[in-house]
Order: sequence, then C-alpha cells, then structure tokens
Amino acid sequence: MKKSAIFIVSCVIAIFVGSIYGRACGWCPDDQGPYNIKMFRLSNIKLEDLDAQLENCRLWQKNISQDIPIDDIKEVIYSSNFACSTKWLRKKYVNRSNPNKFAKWLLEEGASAWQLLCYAKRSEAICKRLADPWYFPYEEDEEHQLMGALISELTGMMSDDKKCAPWLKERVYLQMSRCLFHLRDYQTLILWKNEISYMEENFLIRQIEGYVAGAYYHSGDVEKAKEMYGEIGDYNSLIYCLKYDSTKGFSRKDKLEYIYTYAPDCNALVKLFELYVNGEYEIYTYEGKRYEQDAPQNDLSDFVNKVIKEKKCKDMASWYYAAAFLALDSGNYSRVMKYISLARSCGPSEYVEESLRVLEIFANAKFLPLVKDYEDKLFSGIRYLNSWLKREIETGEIYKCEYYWYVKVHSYPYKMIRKIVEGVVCPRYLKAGTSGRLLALAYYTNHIVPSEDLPWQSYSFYYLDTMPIDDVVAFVESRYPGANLPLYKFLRSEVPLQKDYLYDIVGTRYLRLLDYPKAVKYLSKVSPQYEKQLNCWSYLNEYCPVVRDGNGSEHLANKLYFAQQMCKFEKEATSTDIFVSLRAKVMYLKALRLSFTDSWAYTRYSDSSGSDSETFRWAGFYGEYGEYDAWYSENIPEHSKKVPEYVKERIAELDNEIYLLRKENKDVKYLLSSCHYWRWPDLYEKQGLKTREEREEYYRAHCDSSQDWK
Amino acid sequence: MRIIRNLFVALWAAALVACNCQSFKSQEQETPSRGVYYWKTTFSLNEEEIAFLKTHEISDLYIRYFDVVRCGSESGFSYCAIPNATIKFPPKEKLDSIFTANDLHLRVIPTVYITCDALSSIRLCGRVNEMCDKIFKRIDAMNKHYGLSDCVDEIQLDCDWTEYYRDTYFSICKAFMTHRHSTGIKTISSTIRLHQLKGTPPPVNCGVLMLYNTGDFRDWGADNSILTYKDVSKYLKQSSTYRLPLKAAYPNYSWTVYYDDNEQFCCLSTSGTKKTGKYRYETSKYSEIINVKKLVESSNLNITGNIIYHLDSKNIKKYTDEEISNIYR
Repeated sequence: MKKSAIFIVSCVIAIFVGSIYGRACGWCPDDQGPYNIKMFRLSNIKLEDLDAQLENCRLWQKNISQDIPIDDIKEVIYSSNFACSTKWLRKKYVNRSNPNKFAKWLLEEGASAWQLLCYAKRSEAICKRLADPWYFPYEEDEEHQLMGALISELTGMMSDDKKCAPWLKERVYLQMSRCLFHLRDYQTLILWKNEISYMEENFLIRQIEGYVAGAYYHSGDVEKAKEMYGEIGDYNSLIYCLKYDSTKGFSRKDKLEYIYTYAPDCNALVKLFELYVNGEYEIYTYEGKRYEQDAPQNDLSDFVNKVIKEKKCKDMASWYYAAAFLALDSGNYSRVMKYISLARSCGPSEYVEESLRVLEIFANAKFLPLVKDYEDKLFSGIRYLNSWLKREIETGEIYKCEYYWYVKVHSYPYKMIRKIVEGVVCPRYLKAGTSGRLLALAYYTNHIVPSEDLPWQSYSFYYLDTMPIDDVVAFVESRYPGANLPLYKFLRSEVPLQKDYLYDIVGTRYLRLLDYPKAVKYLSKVSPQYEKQLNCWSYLNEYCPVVRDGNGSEHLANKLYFAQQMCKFEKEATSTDIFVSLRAKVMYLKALRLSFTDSWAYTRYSDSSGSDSETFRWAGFYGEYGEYDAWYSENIPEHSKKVPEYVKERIAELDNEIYLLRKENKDVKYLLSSCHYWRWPDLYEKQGLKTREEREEYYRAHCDSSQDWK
Repeated sequence: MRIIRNLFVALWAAALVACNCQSFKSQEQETPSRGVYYWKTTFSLNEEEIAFLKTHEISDLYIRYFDVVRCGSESGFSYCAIPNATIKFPPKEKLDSIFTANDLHLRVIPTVYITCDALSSIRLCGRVNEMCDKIFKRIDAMNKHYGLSDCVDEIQLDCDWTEYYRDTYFSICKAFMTHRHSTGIKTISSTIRLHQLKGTPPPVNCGVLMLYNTGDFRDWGADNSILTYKDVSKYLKQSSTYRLPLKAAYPNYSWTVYYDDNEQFCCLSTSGTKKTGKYRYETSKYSEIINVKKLVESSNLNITGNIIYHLDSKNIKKYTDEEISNIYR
C-alpha cells in the first residue's frame, strides 16, 4: 500500500475513533506534551474580566435587574447597527420569538436609560471622527458643534433629577468626560476630579478617572497622570507614560518596575508578570531541560527579589509564590520550599494557596529521592489534584473547543496531573525501571478525563506499546510490584482498567513478537463488541494477511483469527506431509510479511509519519527530530525492521526446497506462484519460463486466487 | 476691405498680447519673489528671524504643515496614508500678534511632504481623490484654527518621486489642481529635484527647484553634499528648459557628516558635536550659492523667484545682509 493511502487510512481511523469516543471533534496538536504545560498561576483575573464590554453590561445588570441576562444587555448595547429609534428597538429585539429582556425593559421602564444610550452612541460616533488621524480641530468645525450640542443635552439630563436616577448620573458623567477629553477641554475635565471623588468606586468611575488622567497627561502634568493611572490600574496607559519619560526602548523589567513604582498593588501588574513568565519562561525539551539559548534571563527574578525586599505590595504571598516558582530553575529544593512557606505565612488568597500546593507537589515530585516517602507525598498530591479535578468536572464544563474544531480540556488540575506525572514522575520511574508503577500512573493520567485525545495518542499508550511486554502484562493483570499499595489501588479505583483496550494492545504486541500462541491467549480476551466498534474493524477485515489468499473470506478476519491461523501454519509446518508442510511455511511467511507491510494494522497502531506521530515528535518525547517510524524501527525489538530480512532468508530456503520438488508434485507450482507475491528472486528463470507468454500463462493458471496478482 | 480691417485687428490684438506678456515677464524678472522655508515642527520666530523677514522683505513663507506617511495595518486605520509630525503653531491670538506687531505681511504656503512609502501605499490603494480631499481639509482646518486662512492661496507638495512613483504623484497633483477651485486655493506648486528636471513636469501651476542636497552625504569622497556647482552642473546646462515656471531654492544650512573608520556613513549632526571616527563639516558656501545662481539664471529656465532653505537664526547669521540680498536678487 502506498504511503499516501496509509496516511489516508490513518486519518480515517483517527476520525472514526474520535467519533466513537464521543467527545473529541478533533485532535489538537497545540498542547505538545507535559513540558509545555504552563504551571505558573498568579492571578485569577481572566482576560474576559478585563473586557470593558462585559464589565459595563454587568453594571447595567446590577443597576436595573438581575433577571435581565448579560447577553441580552450586550446584544442591544453593542449592536453593530444601533439606531436611536424605539421602533427599531422593538422590531429588532422585542418582536421576535425570544424577546430581548433588556430591550423590553428599555421600552417599558427605561426611557431615560434609552435616551442615554442614544447619547452614548452619538458621542461614540463623534469621538470616532475626532480620533481620525486626518482630523484637525478648529473651534467652528462640525465635530465641535455636534459635541457642543451633545454636551448641552447631557448637562440638561444631569440636572433633571426626574430623568436621571443617581446610578444613571455616573453614566452621564462618563459620556461628558469622554466628550470633553476628545474636545481637548482638559481643564474642565481636571476640575471634574472633585465632582467624582465622592462617588463609589466602580468600573465607570475608573473610566472617568482614566479620562481625567489623560487630561493631566496632555496638560503636561505627567506625574499626576501616572499616579492616577496607577490608582486605577491602567497599566497600558502607564506604559504609554513611560514613553514620555524615555526616548529609549524599554525592557519587560522596565515595564514591570514602572508599574510597580506607581501601582504596586495593581491587578494588572501580577497579570503582566504572569504573562511574561508563562509566555517566555517554560520552554523545555526532552527531560525538561531548557535549550541554552532559551535560558531564562534573570530580569524577572531580579524584579521579584526587589518586590520581596521592599515589601511594598499588600499581597506578598503572590510574590513569594512567584519567587518559589522562579527558584525551580536553580534546582534548589530548599529554596523553593522556603518561599512556599513564606508565602503561606503571608495569608495567601485561596487562589494563590492552590497554586502553592501545586508547586509544592511538583517540587516534591521533581526533587525528592525515590524512597517510600516519595510515593506517600505523590499520593497525597494526586489525591488533592484528583478531587479538585472531580469538582471541576461536576460543577462545570471543562472541555472547550479551540482552533475551530479541536476540543481541549481546560482544567488546571488536570493539566497539572499531566505535567507532574508525565513530565516528572514517569521519566524518573523509567530511569529507575519501575515499569508497572509508571504504566499505572501514566494510564490513570491519560484516562482520568475521558478522551481528550485518542487512546492511541497518549503517553500511556506509547509506554504500553514500547515497554518490555512482561512489564506491560504485569500491569494489565495488576501483578507488578507495588500494585497493592494505596496509591495504585486509588488509581485503579479512580480509573478502572479497560481490559478490552489493554488486551488488544498486549495481543497486538505479541503479534509483533511473532509469538502467536500468546497473541491468541490475549486477543481471545478482547470482546467482539469492543472490536466491532473500532473504526479499523473494516480495515482489519479487508486487509487480513491470511484471508487475502482466498482461503476463507467467510472467516471472521481479525487479529485473533490471524493469530490462530499463524498457529495453525506453525503446526502444519511440522507435518510429515511435505506438501502440507511447505504450503504452511509459504502461507506463514506470506502472512507474516503482510502483517508488517500492507496489513500493518495487525502489528501496530500507527504507520508512516502521519499526524499521530507529530505530537510525540514535538513533545520531545522521542527526541526533538525523531520521526516516529525511525524511532519505531530502532527501538522496537520485535522485528519491525528485521521481518523483511527474516522473511527473505526463509523464502530463499523454501525456494530451494520447493524447486527440488517441482517435477514430483504439480501442486508445487501453485506454491511457487504464491510466492510471486514477494517477487521471488529469479523466479522466472528457475521455473524455466523464458518468454512473456509462458510467464503469463503460468500465473493465469496458478495465481488467479491471489488478489494481489495483477 | 473687410479682410484688411480684420487682419489689422488681429495684428493689433497679437501685439497687445505680446506686449502684455513682455511687460509681465519683465516685471517678474525685475522683482523676483522672495521666500523662505520654515521646516521645524514647532513654529516660533525669534527677533533675528523676524528681522530677517522684514529686512529682506520676504513675501512668501513656505511652512511644512505635516508629512504624509504610509499607514501601517497596525495603526488600526483604514487609510493608505496618514498625516505625521504636524507642525504646532502658537495659539491663534499669539500668532496673529507676531505678524501684526512686526508688520509682517506674509503669504503662507502650506507645504506637505509626501514620503515615497506613502506614495507606494496610495498607489496600491488607488484612493487618490480621497487622499487629496483629506489633505485639503486638514490644511483648511489648520488655517482656520490658527487664523491663517487669509494668508493662504497656494499649497505646495514636496515629494522626491522617482520614475516608479511618477504616475501616482502626478495623479495626486492632478487631483489637487482639480480640487483647488472649490477651496479658494489658486496655486498648486511642487518641489522639483535636479534629477527630475529632465523629465515631464508634474501637472501643477509652478515649481520650486531645490538647489540643495545636491550630493550624496553617505559618500565619504563627496566634497560637499549640500551644494556644489559641480553637482548642479551635471543636471543643469545653459540650454536647460522646463515647461513650468520655477522658483530657485538655495540652502543656508550646515551639518557635520560622520563616518566610521571604514568610511561608512554613520550619521548627520546639525549640532556639530564631536564624535569618534571620521567626519566632514559641510556648509552652504555663499560663493557656491552665487555660482549656482548664475548658472540657473543663465539657463533657459523661467525663474520667477528665490527661496532660502530655511529660516533659522543660526543659519542666517552666517551671511551678511548684502549676501542675502544678492541671493534674493
């Protein structure tokens, strides 16, 4: 079979198996292994929390009614074709099968609010014109006139207590400050600072303060502007002020220190720091080591050390956590633990406490010696993460579709289990030779959340597929040393072993080892229901190495049948009837070769360098540039590369035997023709068939049953 | 009889026209216009500069209003080009008082420098009329804001166009010529580099022949990249003609050109600060200016005025009043 065809089949398999396992609408190659999973978690501010639109809608909801969904508010306020007409509002949002509750409220109870929204849209449109790079203001221009009229209307609204409820006043102020700012009337805006000082701090007030800060900036009082930006946590504007102070470029450390100077407790500071750490720090390769050129700069550590030394921030626990995380690089376990302990002594938030616990589990897994105590700590850690994950599964959706159709699991505890087990514990166990425990941990990790990836694209699968077969069997049968320890019992109770899946892997590995009796033993434990639901079921039928010879298409063509037939051939090969023996040998060799070539799915789960091997290539699991196939050939002791050689040698022996029998038994011709499938060397010459006609006649007579003969 | 009478009328009319033209030309030749460029980003005039304007009866002040640069996709605007480095004038009242208190009656010529990048971008967008409209509106808004509207009846476009961008630049000029009628602008002028002299002139009313930056300052071997007779004479002969009335712009500035030890260009400095490596001090020599002026005036170019680049007391000081007068003569 051509490589391209193999690839297509692989893809078909992937797609079908994906649908069988239900969840996955695709497989996403972004999360390329445990080393790239981000662990650092300093701030629970989510990007959507910084979304001004959402914040605005939340405030509307708070002010008017909790019964009105945020989505309804958003739909009206941020309508792309907003028209200041109640007719439009009614037609578009109320007169429909699912009326928008916010629109209904505006029509029935929110006349002033509706009026304000219209003003806001007008101001937005004028501001857009004012912000145009080609716009140059002069007092009598159209924009000034429009803005002036709008300010008058807003002033009128504000002075009318009947029209303007207190909560609406803030919004009127916001619109007015926006108008004044864009009109460059900075002095009036600065005078407003006192007006808003008595108002309760909220999203709107912060926005107004932002305009006032901008007014200070443009009036030349940059220090005051920085102070205000710091107070409201507007780090983008702070950084903009940094440009004012410096004509040179500035580094990420400059930015952090700048924000830190003006707003040490600004939420944005920790968020920015987190982004820096996660965006540029965790670049690992095989065995978790960084590339030389990607070695972290000391700037972030320097910054954290400064914060710790100065103790200016209220939330010191977060910065001790940051210091502990950065100390992982040094490999100094006691330093990591010291900072974790200092963080805890500062009364961390619940969020940071979780981060500290994870960091502690990670550090224990990475640095502690592999003694009994190690697994106790590991068990405690896994139990903690497991229960956190279970809570997340119960309380919320942890799957998220990304990149159009890829489904990924978005769960911090799940990712941490993977990072710790796959990235730290498994490599250590692999080195220590504790295969059974390694397999148990890897299996648990890859199956605790159903089908994030295909079951044959997980780390545990690759361990199952490549570790010594006896260790794999011991794991499958829970006979490995330590299988009855609490940790491993826990793992089995949380994620029971899927025996069909595992026996299929074991049986397949025995097929690859040419140990057909053992293959029969394990494959016969695979339930027909399991086999039949696999997407490759029809493929196995069609490409069965033993059925294809025309000897029994009525048979169930699966791995078990193949193994049984091979056992039968092995037995017949010892027959005293020379023809029976030779025939069995020929059939055996032909099927053996096919099971490693055209019918490769009988001996492995992946072929070619298709997408399924990509994950592991990029994950550095097999080394940075290791192609899956190449790795397979070199590392699997089970003949994958040796088989063709083995078959060739055996055929050469058989060739002589059969040739000698040629004149004594007419059926021998049939055997020889069967061997044509392998393009037997010098076959034509040995048959004495010199002309093309002779050869064609010969194969027509003897090879018509061979589907491969063309 | 009627034929003779008609012929007589025609000859009389032709003679009148010829006479008018001659008198117009001779008047132009007698009193060439006097101008100066103002090329800074903040407008302010010190006493020496005001004195210069008065003493030499400068009538035309060419002020760079803004540059037009390519609009990158990162800017978030959908324009192909946007204004940049807009000049800052003092408030209207202050500006007005500078002019009135000093009895300055200047014609202000807003000058817009269009970069080649912007041309390239406009060429791709093809939105020439929109650009033209934007530039006009912005100049108009600036004039209104600073109370300069009454002093402006000409706009100058400055662009170092090459053969590749010529068509785009010319289409911009054409759009300006069409558009000016609706805006009260009478004249559209364009700067002309020496290398552009041999080609077709842009479709504008008149031009300014830039007689500075004639050499390559990057070249360590250059004598003087600001102005040399030798460089000008490569492009300008006595027989040179140009199908556009021109004003000649002469330099008065100086700078130091710095090179590294391998004679590779490093930077230009007008402050003259000493740096390591090799350097060359260049200045606009009076003798060179006069020689070039003679060459220009001996050519067949229709020179209607003289301009000095640019108004800065530091530069003005280098010349005597007489020398300045000679340049303007």
